[in-house]
Amino acid sequence: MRSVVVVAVVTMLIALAPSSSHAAGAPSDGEARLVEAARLVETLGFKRARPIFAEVRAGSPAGSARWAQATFGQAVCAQHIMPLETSLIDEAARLFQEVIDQAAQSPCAASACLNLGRIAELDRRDSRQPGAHFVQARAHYQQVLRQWPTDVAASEAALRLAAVAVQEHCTAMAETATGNPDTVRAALTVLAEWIAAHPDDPQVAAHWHFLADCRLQVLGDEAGALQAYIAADARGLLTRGLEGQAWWRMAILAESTGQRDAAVRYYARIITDAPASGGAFEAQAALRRLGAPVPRSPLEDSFERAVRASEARK
Amino acid sequence: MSDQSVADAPRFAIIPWLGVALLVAALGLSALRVLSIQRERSDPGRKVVRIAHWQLEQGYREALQTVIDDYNRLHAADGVVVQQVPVTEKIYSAWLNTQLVADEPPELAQVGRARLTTVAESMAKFFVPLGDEVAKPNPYNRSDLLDLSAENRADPALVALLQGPWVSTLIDGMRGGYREEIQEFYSIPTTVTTVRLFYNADLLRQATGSSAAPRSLGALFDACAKLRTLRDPAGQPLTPISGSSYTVDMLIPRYLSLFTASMRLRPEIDSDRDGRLVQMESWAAVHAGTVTFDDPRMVEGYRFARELCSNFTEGFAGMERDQAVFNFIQGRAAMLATGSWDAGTLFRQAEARFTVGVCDFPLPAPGERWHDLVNQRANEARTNGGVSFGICKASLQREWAIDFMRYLTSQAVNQRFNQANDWLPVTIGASTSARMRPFLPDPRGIAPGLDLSKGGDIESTLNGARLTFLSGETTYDQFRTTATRTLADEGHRLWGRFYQENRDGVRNLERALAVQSVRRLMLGADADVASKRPRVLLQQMLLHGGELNRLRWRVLFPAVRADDRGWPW
Repeated sequence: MRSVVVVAVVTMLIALAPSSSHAAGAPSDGEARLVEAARLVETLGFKRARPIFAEVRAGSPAGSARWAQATFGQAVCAQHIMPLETSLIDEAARLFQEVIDQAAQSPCAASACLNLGRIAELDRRDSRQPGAHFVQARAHYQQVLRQWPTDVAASEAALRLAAVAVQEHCTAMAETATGNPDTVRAALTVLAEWIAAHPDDPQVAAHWHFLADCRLQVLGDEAGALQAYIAADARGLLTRGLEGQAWWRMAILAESTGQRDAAVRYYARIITDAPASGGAFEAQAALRRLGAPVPRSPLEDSFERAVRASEARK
Repeated sequence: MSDQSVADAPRFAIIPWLGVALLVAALGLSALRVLSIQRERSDPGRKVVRIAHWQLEQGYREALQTVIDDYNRLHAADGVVVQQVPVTEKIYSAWLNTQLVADEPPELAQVGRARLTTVAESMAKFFVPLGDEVAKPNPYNRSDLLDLSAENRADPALVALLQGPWVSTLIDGMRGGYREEIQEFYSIPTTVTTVRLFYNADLLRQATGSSAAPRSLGALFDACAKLRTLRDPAGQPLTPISGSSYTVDMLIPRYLSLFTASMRLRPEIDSDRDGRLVQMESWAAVHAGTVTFDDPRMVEGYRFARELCSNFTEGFAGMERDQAVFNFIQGRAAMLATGSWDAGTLFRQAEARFTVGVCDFPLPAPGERWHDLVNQRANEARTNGGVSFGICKASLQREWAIDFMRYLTSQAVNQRFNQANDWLPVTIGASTSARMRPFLPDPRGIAPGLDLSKGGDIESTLNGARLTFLSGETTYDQFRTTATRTLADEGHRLWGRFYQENRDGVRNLERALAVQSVRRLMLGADADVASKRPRVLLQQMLLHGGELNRLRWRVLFPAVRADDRGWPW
């Protein structure tokens, strides 16, 4: 009899447990639920975060700061739940649009608009209307620049606008051989103007690097590319672990455009600052060929030291 | 029914019950095991950290156990007990995936084989991000705990480096544990690996009069010819090089890439001019005919490969790695190409039989055949750390798991561990054992040439044709015809495949950007996002949505209609 009572009490406690925890997380601490969902997104837990954002959104006044955050969060989740589904992408687009329409002053609004551009670019391709998705994406990026010019999303929108032009050109060339490099040149000029107007933008190294890459790989403009790479390098290259490859490219371009001093500078940096890139040995050979001083690679030093240390242990 | 069968009836009647009894016993044992593990895990005074791996090579478990015993003694007062869980390579993937999904994983798991430890999304779901941890110093690299050589001790910069952030104390800057797609560290490497030529020094002395490693390719072929004149323990002619399909993979692409290394400097091949030929650039070159199988570097590279393989075990194409190792240990072959991960096993198993020598792959010396095409080794400057362990999120002892990894990768312990195991240490300033010296990653040399890997079905077809050519079953002309025809028929698919890879990369990075937006807008992580976002953004932008590959394809194949070739765009 006693055991039956114990079992009954335990069962009741278990049954009550979810409702008590629900009570603890009720609308009064929507903030905590928002943070909980955001933490799930941090670990790519979009599926689990989506209903929590939806719950907070439902419990917040439309247009409020928390509503905007929750709506934005729910949209982000719908956009990234795998596998991708049209209904979820539609939900994401609808929710991002709601943030723009009902909470344009929210810090989430510019990013919501940028994300509409991303959805157009990545998820709205239609083989019956090739290129239409680029037109839609461009409109959203332009809206970000127009409506939220000082938001961090504007910097990204400037970059995305140039990227759309480049992709549009490549696509047109690949599919119908109708691309026009002048449209790429024009878009890159706009990007260069944006950079000139925002020289201290925190993301500007990415802009310079992208500009350089497009000049080299799409337009074949070696001198223009080198100039942009040098500007990117001056702001700190963002290609973690791949700096050696960027400097190799810069050295090669400098050589082919007759800028020996620049070539020497970048070959030397490969050896001293990116010894683990795999290019140090050949950079040393290039410096010898150019008659310039050849620095030693720190990796070579440490290799020789390791050999000596293991020999000493014999 | 005969009398005999009547007499046997009761005896056979027991058999079904024996089965049931065995089943019950097995279930009982399993239940006891489950209960004991659960009791162990739920005991508040005992902090169990299980470390799961598939490294069953000889010596690894013993070396790891020594480290574990030392650590357990060091933290006995804290109640910490580290236990290793070795799982055979064949079932490791399924085992770990099950443990992760069931929320009962080991605290530390070797990453890389199980699917849930290779896909970025799963890593983020099941493993602890380590960015904050690796930015802190490793307390086990305190001055009084270091075990440096006299030369290293005199280097204040090295000591300062070891006492700086944990991430900077490993040779590869923990690249081996970094997930580019999610811009985070998710595992800690414990060693580095390289590939070398092992040889039986006794047989070599018998054949050539010297146990010194062949210093050039000519000397290697000369040694092979002399080794052929010897007899193996079974009285059969000795095989110079222990061959298998695994040996081919270890040796041949390495040499072929040296034959094609100079192609890296041609802008029409290295399209992004970064000095490296990635797979797409390599396949594009052979598909578009920028590099043909008539190119002297290709022809001579394959001729060399065939000549090298003529010294392999007969029927090597159908053999596996284990057979190649077995033949070498048994003294049936004088040389074997494999990685540093096999060194301990080979040293120990050969101990009572013969002396094992190790050397780098020899190159043609001046005046020797192929010297005009190959005269520099490939550098190993980009060698990444391996045998990495991640900390499982469901672990009850995360802090202790991280602490054990700090201990294992501290300078003194990593040195001791890898020396005992005959592996290479991953920690800066940790010296290797004398016999592992030839394995040290050598940063000197050129970057490799064509990389014809990740080519899917086309690569498989080409590798199959290559294997039959290397085995002597077909001629180079036949190989060339197969390769050229395959590329002509199927090559366009490769572009589609790499295009799709680019698109997937863009999608993955889009998720990383989404996470950063949410962190900035809801978690106040402005500073962290400001430092990371531009990197992810640029990485994604440089993929150009895959469209640049399409442009290149169109430039190279102006007359081909995309839909004629059934490619996926």
